[in-house]
Amino acid sequence: MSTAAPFLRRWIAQPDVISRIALLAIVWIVFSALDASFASTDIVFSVLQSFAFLGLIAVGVGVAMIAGELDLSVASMAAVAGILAVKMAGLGLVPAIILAALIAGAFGVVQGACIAYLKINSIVFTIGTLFALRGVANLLTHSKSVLLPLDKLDQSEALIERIWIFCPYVFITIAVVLAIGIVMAISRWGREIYAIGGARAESVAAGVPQVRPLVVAFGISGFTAGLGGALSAVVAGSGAAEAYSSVLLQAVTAVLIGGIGLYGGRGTIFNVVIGCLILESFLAGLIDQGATQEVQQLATGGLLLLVVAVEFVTGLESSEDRRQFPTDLVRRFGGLRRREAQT
Amino acid sequence: MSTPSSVAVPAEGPSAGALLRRLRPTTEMTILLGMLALLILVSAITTEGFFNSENARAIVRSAALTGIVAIGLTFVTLSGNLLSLSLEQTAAICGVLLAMMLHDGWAAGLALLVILGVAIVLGVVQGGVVALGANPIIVTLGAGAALAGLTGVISGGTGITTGPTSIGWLGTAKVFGFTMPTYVFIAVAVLAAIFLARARAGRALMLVGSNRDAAAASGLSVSRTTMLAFVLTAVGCALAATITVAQFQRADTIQFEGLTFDALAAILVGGAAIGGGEGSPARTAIGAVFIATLGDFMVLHNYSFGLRMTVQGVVVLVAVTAFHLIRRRRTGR
Repeated sequence: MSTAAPFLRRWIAQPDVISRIALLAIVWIVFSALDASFASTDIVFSVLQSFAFLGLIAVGVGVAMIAGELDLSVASMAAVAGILAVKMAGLGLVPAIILAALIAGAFGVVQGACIAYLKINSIVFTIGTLFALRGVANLLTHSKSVLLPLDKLDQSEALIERIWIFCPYVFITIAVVLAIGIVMAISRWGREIYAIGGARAESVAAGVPQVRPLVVAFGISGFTAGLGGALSAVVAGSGAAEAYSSVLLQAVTAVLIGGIGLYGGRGTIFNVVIGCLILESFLAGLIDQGATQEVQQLATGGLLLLVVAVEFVTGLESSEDRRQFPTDLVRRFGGLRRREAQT
Repeated sequence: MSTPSSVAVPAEGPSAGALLRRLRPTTEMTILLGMLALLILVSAITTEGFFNSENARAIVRSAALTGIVAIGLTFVTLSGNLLSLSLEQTAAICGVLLAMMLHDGWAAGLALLVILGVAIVLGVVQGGVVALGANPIIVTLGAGAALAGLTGVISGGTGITTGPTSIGWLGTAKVFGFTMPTYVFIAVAVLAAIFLARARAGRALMLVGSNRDAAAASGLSVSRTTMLAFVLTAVGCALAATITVAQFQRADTIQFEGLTFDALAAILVGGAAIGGGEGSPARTAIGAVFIATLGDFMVLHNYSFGLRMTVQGVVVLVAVTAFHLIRRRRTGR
C-alpha cells in the first residue's frame, strides 16, 4: 500500500474526481430505480463497448484541451481512418488498423506544427480540416460505404467477442488510454502540455518550448481519433464518409463532464475516462427508458450546455484559467467582468 | 489593433476626405476582390457555359441563402465571439415550425412573427450562456445538437408540407430576372453595413469586438452586445429558413445540411478576424459569392461531391492562414 497511497491521493482522492465518481454512482442508482434490471453485466458490457470508441476519441480531445486548444477535426479524422483501414484490409487487419492510426497521427503532427508555427487559432484551423477531411472521406468512398472483405469478418468479430463485461476492443482502448495517461502524468512532454495550457505566457517566460507540446498534443489526438475510427470501422465491417458525425459532441461533452478545464491546464486523463463512463451510462439509461435517437441527441446537447453553465456557477473556471484560451483571445474575459460590475 | 476603415467613425457628418478614406478598400478587400476576379477569369476561360448571364444568376441565387446566414454570423464574429456551429440546426427548427404553422392554416404574418420570436429566444439563450463566459464554440455545439434533437422530436422525423401559402413569392418571385432571395441577400448586406456604421448598437458591437476592455471601461455592456450578436445570427438563420420554406413549400430536419459549413466558409474566406473587431458584411457577402462561384465552377467540371468538399475545405484553410499572416504582419506580432 505504501506505493499505492500517493497514487490514490494524487489521482483519485481529489474533490473533483470524487464528485464525478459520485455522479457516476447517481446515474446508476437513478436508472436502476427506474428499471430494476438496469444494473446488470449486460448494460455494463454495452457501456464499456461504447466507451471503447468514445474513450479513444475523448482522450485526444482531452489532451488538446489540456494544452489549451480545441481539436474539432477528430470526428472527420476517425471517418477517414476507418475508410483507410477497411480499404487496406488486404494487408491483414492488424497492419491495416495500425497503419491507418499512424497516418492519422502523422496528420495530427502536421496539424499541430501548423498551428504552433503559424500561431493560428486552433478552432479556425481545425474547422478547416474538419470539413476538408470529411471531403477526403467522401472522395475515398465516392460518397458510398466501403465494405470489409467477407473473409476478414471472423477476425473483426473477434475484436468485440465478449469476455465477461469486456471485449478485446475495450482492452486496446484501456491500454492506449493508460499509456497516454502515463505520458501526460509523468513525462516531460506531458508536463510541457500542461505548462502551455495552464499558463501560456508564463510558460514562454519560463523557457518551455512552444512548438513541441502542440505537435505532441495534436499528434496524440490525431492518432487516437484514427485508431478509434479504424477499429470501429473494422468492427462494423464497413467505413462510410458520413460516419461518426456525432462523436465530436459526445467527446467534448464527456471531457467537460469529466472535469477537464476548457481553458487548458486542468484535469487528468482519469477525468476523461470517468467523463466518458458518466456520459455512456447516462445514454445507456436513456436507451433503457426507450429514448429515441433524437431524444439522446437532445439530452447530450442539453447536458453539454448544463455542464458549461455549472462550471461557471461553481466558479471552477477561474478568470485566471479563462485567460489562457483561446490563445489569441488572451484577456478576453478576465478582469473585464470586475470592471463591468463597477460601472 | 484593427484597420482604419473598421474603427468606429465619429457620429457627425464625415468630411469628404474621411469619406474617401472609408471607401478606400482595405488590404483584405483588395485581396478578396482580386481572388474573386481571378476565379471568375479562370472559370470563364476554362469552363464552357460559365460566363453567361444565366449562370451568373445561378451563382448569385446559390450565394444568397449562404450569404444571408453568413452575414448574420458576421455579427457574432465581429463582436469577438468566434463562430457559431448551430446555424443549420437553428434554420431547421425555424423551418419546421414555420411549415407546421402554415400547414395548420395560421396566417402567414402571425407565423412569421412567431418564427422571429423563436429566433430571438434562441439567440438570447445562446448569447446569454456565452456572455456568462462560456466558449461560443462549445455552447453552439451543444445548442446545435439539442436543437437538432428537438426538431426531430417536434417534426416526428418526417417532412412537413405547407400547402399553398401566401409567402411563396418570397422564394420564387422574379424581378429583372433575379429571384427574391437575391434581393433579400443584398438588402441584408446593406442593412448590416448601415447598422454597423451608423447605429449605436452596431458601433458598440464593433468596439466590443476590437477591444473588450476599452468597451467595458467606456460603459458598454459586453453581455448585452454578445446577446444582440447571437440574436442577429439566429434571425439570419430564420430568414434563410423562411425563404427556403416559401420556395419549396416544405420543411424537414435535414433541409439545411451543409449550411453551417458554407456560411463558415464564406465568413472565413471573407477574412473576418476570428478574434473580433475586423471584417465587414460586405466582405462576408463577397466571401459567399466566392464560395458559390467556386462551387459552380466545380459542378460545371463534374467534380464529385467529395472533391468539391475537399477543395472548399482546403480553400478555407489557405484563406484563414493567409489572412492570419497578413494580420500578424500588420500588427507586428
